[in-house]
Amino acid sequence: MKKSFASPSRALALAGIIGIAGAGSASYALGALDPAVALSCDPTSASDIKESTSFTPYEDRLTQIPLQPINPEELARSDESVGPAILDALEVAWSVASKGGRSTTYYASRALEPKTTAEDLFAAGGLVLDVEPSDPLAGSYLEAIKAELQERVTSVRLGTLDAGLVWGDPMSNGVRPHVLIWVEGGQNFTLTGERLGHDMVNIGRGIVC
Amino acid sequence: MLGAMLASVLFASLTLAAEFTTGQHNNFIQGVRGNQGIRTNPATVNGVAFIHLGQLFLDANGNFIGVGTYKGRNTVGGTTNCPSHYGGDWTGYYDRVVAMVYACSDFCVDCWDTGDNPSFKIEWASCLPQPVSRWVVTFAGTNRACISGPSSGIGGSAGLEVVGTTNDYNIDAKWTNMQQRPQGGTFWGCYDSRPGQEAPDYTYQYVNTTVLGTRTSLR
Repeated sequence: MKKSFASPSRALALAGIIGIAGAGSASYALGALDPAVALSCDPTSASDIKESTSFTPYEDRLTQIPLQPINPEELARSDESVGPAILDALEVAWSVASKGGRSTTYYASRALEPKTTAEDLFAAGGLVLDVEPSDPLAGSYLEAIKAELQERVTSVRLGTLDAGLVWGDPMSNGVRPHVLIWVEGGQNFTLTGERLGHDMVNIGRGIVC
Repeated sequence: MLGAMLASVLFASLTLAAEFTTGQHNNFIQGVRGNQGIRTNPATVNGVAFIHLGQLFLDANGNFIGVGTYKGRNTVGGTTNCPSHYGGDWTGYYDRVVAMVYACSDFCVDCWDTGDNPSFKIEWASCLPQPVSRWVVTFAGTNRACISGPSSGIGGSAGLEVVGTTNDYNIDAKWTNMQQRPQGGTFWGCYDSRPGQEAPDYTYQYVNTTVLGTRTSLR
C-alpha cells in the first residue's frame, strides 16, 4: 500500500486559475491561495507553539518495564510500509507492516542493531512514523487523543489539516519525544521523535504539504 | 546486611507466531487476556511498589495499556499517578502510555489477597454504553476504563515488578488462560509465547503457551 503525498496547497493553486466561461463571453475566476493554508505549510517557529509544561517524571510511573528491542531477530524490512523514503534527512532503517494495513517505519542515521530500542533510536535522533487505517467505529483518532490527553495536546495545522502535537513524558533514558498526530485520507498518522515542537510540526508539514 | 536493589523487572511476553521472514506481521493484536493467580501477599515496605502486571503493547515506542494489582508505592518527589496503599491486600490499577504520555489510576483498594485469581482483559472493543471503539480494560469481570489510542497492538505481556529499594520481597503469581485476539478477528487463541526479561532474583517458569509462573526469590 503506497501513499502519494499530494500537496493540497498545489491543488488549490490550480483551482485558482481554472476559468469559468460565462454565456457568450469568456471570463475568468482567479482565486488567490488561502493565506491560512499557505501559512500552515510554511515553516513555523518556537514562538508559534505553546505547549503544556506538565509531565510525569519517569520515576513516578508505577510500572517501569524496560523496552523490548525494535527488531531483535533482524528481520528484513517490509515491502508494504507507508511513508517517504527520506524523512528529515534520515533514511528508512526498518519497517514493519500488518495485513490489517498498519505500517510502522523507522528512520535513522544507521541500521538498527538487534538490541536497539526506541529509546536508543530517539536518543540518536531517529523518527518513527506509524500509519494505520482509521477505525470508523472509533470516531476521529485526533479528537480521541485530545480527549484522552487533554491539555497535553497542542492544536497545530499541517496545511489544511488539523493536527495535535504532544510533548511526551520522559523515558527511562531521559529522552522526551514529541508526537505529532493527524488524520488524512482515512488513515491515522503518528510521528514520534525527539525534536523541538516546532521542528516536529515542520517535519509534518513537509509530509502533508 | 541490607543491600540496595534497583528497580527490577521480570515479565514474560506473549508474542505472535513468528512465521515470517520479513517485517510482515501476520496480524497485529487487538486483545490480551488471562488470569492473575496471586500466591503471596508480602508486608509492604516504605517507598517500594510490588506489582502484578498485564500489558498490551501498542507499539515498540513504549506506548502500552496495562492492568493488574499493586501494593506499596511512594517515589521520590511523590506521586501524581496511582496513590500509595500500604494496607493489607492488593489494589487494582490500570495504567497507560498513549502518545508517550503516562497516566495511572487505582480501583478497588485492598480487594485481592493470596489465593485470588482475578481475570484481566485489554481489548479494542465497544466502550459500552457508548458505541465507540476504545481499549476496554476489564479486571475481575468489571470494566475499569476505556482508553484511546491506535486500534491495534504488537503483543502482550504478564509478569511481576518491584520498584524501589528493598531486601525483602516475596511476590509469586501464576498466570493462566493467557490468550490473544488478532486484529480484526473474533477468536481468542494461544500464540507462541516467549520469555521476556528477567532480573536477578526473579524466576520465570514457562509451562505452556497459556500458563506461566513468575516469582521473586526470598531473601
